[in-house]
Amino acid sequence: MVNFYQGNFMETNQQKSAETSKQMGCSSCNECLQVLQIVLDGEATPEEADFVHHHIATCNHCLECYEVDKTLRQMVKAKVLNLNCPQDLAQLIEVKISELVIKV
Amino acid sequence: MSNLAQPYSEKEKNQIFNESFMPLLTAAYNFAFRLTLDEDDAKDLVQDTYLKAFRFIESFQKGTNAKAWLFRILKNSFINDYRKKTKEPSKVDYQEVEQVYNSEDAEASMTTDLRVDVLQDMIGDEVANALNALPVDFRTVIILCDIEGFTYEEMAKILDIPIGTVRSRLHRARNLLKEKLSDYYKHSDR
Repeated sequence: MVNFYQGNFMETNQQKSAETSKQMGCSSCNECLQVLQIVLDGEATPEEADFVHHHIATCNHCLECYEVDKTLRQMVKAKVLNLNCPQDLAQLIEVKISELVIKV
Repeated sequence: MSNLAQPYSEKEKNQIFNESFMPLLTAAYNFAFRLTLDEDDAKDLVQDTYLKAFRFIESFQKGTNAKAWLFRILKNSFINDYRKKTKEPSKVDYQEVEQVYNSEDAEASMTTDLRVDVLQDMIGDEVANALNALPVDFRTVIILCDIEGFTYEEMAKILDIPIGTVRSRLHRARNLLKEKLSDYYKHSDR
């Protein structure tokens, strides 16, 4: 969080802005990182989604956060174990319910 | 989820149960397993859940989200009957966790050094293990959101918490998950 980049006048503006935001964060980054989760969860308004997509087009730091979080969601979905339902479960439930119905 | 009793006939009750809830059996079993992490407990939990669903079916409004209604019963049964039995030390103190978390909203990113390529290299059980290692309440929001695809609003109803809390709990859960995965990576021989 120091003024490290201020001395590097040789950088192009674009590089500089990407690097700077990666190191220091900018006001848009904060906002972006707060909205990013909602966008990835499909809960954002179109305006919020636009804002994030515009921002990550030019900000490496936020783009990386976006990609990590997107990948994380995909990995969770892909890697979690899906079990087959035990074959007798439906029958067990039916028996219990018929007992319940008789009692009533 | 309305508490008003619906005037269903016995025939209708059976029909709703068989058509709306029995097809969700595999989904319910998997949700139960992800909460209990034990196949026998999951089986018991699903049976209890379905019995309750049958008994309380008059509070289910036809045409509303049957899966959310069923999962809410399942989650409540889990909390009331199963969590007590487990050795899980104690329920996470959300208020505390969420207060701490919310006070640091400015650092929304909580930068981990986890990278996309690192994540994609986790082709074994790392992700599933890390998820299962989370406290159950954090695990639950990730399951409901990422695996079951419920909306924030549905999750709020299933969990009986405000939408804002759904959001912050999800965010916190994901950060914990990233921390765990990042730890795995640091301690692996790569």
